[in-house]
Amino acid sequence: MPLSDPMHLTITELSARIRRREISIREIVKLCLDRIEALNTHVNAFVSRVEAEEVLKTAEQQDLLISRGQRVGHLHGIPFAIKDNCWTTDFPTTACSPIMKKYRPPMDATVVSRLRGAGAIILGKTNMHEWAYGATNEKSLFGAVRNPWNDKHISGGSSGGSGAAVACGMALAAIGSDTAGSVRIPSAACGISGMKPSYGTVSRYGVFPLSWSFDAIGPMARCADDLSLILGIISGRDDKDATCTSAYSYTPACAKQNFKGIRLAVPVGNFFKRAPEVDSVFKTAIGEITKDGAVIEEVEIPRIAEAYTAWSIIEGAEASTYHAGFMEKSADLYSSGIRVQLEVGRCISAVEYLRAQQYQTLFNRQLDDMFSRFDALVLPTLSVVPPLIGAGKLLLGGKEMSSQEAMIHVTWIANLGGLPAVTIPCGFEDGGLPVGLMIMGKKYADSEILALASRYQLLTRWHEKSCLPSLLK
Amino acid sequence: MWTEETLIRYRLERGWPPLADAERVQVLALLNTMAQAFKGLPFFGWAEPEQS
Repeated sequence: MPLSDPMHLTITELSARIRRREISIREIVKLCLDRIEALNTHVNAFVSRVEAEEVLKTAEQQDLLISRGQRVGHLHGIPFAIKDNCWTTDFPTTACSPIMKKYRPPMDATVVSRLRGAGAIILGKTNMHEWAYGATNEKSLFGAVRNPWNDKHISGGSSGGSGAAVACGMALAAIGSDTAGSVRIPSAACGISGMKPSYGTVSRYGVFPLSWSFDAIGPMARCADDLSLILGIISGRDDKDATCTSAYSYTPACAKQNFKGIRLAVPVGNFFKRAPEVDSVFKTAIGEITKDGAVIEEVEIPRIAEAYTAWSIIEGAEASTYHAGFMEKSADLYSSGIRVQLEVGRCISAVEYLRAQQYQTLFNRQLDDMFSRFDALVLPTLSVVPPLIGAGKLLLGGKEMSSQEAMIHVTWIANLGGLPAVTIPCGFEDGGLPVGLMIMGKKYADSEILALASRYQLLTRWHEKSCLPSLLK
Repeated sequence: MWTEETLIRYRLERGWPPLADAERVQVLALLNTMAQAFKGLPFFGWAEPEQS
């Protein structure tokens, strides 16, 4: 992206330019609208949009406030995109399912009202995997989202529209939800930064659930500093979400001066095998971090396959519980793959569910032990290159698995543990698709891992690479 | 482990409609994969005695 492009700037930099009246909010919004107009038919990121006239009027009102030296908040005039499972009063909220295609929520989700309260301008709702129950974004009422770096490949999901919208400069930032990796997967596949906060950090009130033990709402943006700023605004106690307590308060942190003395664990073993083209980019990234002073150690995570079973049982049972009513009345309105998963979930017994929860406790204790020796766990966000749309099956470590399984292969660990995890771009594989580096921390170490991500982005400039030049050709 | 018969009976008992053939095959396969993996989950918190 050329340096003159305002979408290249961080939110803080852009806000400063707005305050100095070097650029107007109207100009920024107009630029986003033009990009949506030019690219959305192809990329399929937005599923509903605000009327151009209406949003430009809002932008002008915000410009007027700036001219008077006033500002609504830290996101004054910043264009956002919102995943279509977050309730919004001014747009339909469909979860990209035919079941909800006409749904108009009675109120905004807490995350949406906090963004609006900070002055953000919401441009529209983004495409997602139907009901957030899939990580490829191939199944949606509105059709698949295309990867902006190569339109034959998936965008990743379930927040695929949010990932593609930010990557294309259609919005400066977006909101996604993450139950097994649904913020981090499309962020990595689309070459942007994305964050799954610690469990309970951001209110889920007014967001269609998938699995309440794991669901997390998170920001998606070009860089870690923007994620940090947004998380500071959307996090915090909400009495409407019992899991969102004041036990933890997020405080944005500055980038580390360097990685000196930082202890990082790289998981190894059969389970963590990855495609060679991903491995090569990851090793280069680890080399850069090591050169900056980090101490890297390879670790085995015992009984990881059992932990995946526990995650699958809990997630399957909870998703089927939420969808039980819709399944009674409208089972035929689900995509076949999702209906099959919900039918499986209906057959999970209380014994299996509770035993999986017991195992979760055991596994999380093991993670706690590991984080007493390390500052963070680092690994590629995706173990494979984002597959072709419609690929179905692929090979990973000699094992055949579905695209869906390959996408969430390592990301679910943060959900089972309730841990914070951030993904940042760390290079490109030979075919030109981005590779993401995931930094996972101990519970409530959100600001610490964002500070590490921010340092990495001072060392490298991968987050500044843009798909726009080739898209706009 | 689940069989075609136990799955059909389980669904009938709950008044759930029959599954299409292709989906029944997928559901059965996934249920059995899960049941097999479940056996690997350790019991924790107290001893699980053998029947005596």
